[in-house]
Amino acid sequence: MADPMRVRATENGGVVDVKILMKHDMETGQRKDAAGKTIPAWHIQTVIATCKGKEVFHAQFGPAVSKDPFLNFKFKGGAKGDKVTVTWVDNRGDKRTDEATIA
Amino acid sequence: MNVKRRDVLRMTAVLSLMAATGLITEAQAAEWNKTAFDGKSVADVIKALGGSGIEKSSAITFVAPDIAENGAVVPVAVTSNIPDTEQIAILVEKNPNTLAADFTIPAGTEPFVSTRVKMGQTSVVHAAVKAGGKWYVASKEIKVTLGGCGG
Amino acid sequence: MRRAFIRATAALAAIGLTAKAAAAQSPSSTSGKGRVKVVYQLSEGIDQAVRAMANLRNHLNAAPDTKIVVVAFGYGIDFLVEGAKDARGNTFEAPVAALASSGVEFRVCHNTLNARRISEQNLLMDAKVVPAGVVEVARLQFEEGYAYLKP
Repeated sequence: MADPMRVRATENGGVVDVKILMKHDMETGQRKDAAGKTIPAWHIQTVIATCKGKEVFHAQFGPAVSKDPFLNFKFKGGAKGDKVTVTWVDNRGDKRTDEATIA
Repeated sequence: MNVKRRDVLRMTAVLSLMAATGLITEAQAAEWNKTAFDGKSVADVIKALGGSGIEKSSAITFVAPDIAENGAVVPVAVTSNIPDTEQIAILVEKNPNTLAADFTIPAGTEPFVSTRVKMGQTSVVHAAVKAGGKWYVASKEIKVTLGGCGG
Repeated sequence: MRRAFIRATAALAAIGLTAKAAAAQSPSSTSGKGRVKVVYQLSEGIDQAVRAMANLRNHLNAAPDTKIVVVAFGYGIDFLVEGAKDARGNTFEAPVAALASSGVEFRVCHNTLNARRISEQNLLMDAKVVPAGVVEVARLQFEEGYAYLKP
């Protein structure tokens, strides 16, 4: 199972600010190892965030997103105490879901 | 309303249902826009994202460093002040593949995103925004002292 | 008889020397083998943090295998607060993100957060919180063999 991501959600004036720090190597497929062999591309492809069953953000990542991807977005309609759920899926089909309570 | 937007909305509704029932994986895998991520130029990418052209706009705020010490981690933030913003994309012209990331902004979500991208070398970076069915762009050159794509 | 005495003394001296040599070798778990670990203490403020960003970069360029933990307390946490800027007006997001991506850990003192009434939510995502900065600095050295450095 993939490493957990850190999700932080804070609400101010009706707007929920969500910050996510994911754990993933995000290999571009351009690097070579010590033996000269190309390290295959391995990266998160899709990130979906929901709140109360509604999709609030949808990202598609290419391998050019930095290692341990960071994402920050804002949405309306969440209140303190509600949960924001984030799921990512990578190009090998691995996935990870974590959530945060809006503070 | 054009066909593409209707498809996106339908897909979003389907995904929301699947998310609620935990069946998200296959839909997501099928949805990743491979053609756009394989694009080798801004024109290729915009075409793959369903655009027919791109227009400069000063209503897009694009925050990024002038010089990136480490090309492996370049923070970029985009805010769109164009009404009906539905999508934001980050394109790095000189990267092996131009499109770094593509974000869908559902109704109720602010037209803003901040993330970190890799840059192989000094390059113009574009913040592209789809609003009201049209694509707009704000661009900035970011100098890179240590390239970050590997190799 | 005198010759015996001299021989005995020489023998004892030899034993003494051997024992000392043995004692010198055994406690050395940091005899040059294994990964070098360093704790950087930042407790002064933005200017020290600016210098430290450069020190850390140079450190990793010269010795990429080094495990580095930055412990920030007092005014040393300022650079890890969202929106912090240096004298030139640049934010710390880029250098901190780049260093974190290279394996540097940033640990912030919870006592400081309380005393200065700064919420953990205001820190950059790359930072983690530890109960007490000074305790962490001592612990890393004493329990985990970290070398101490104050830039």
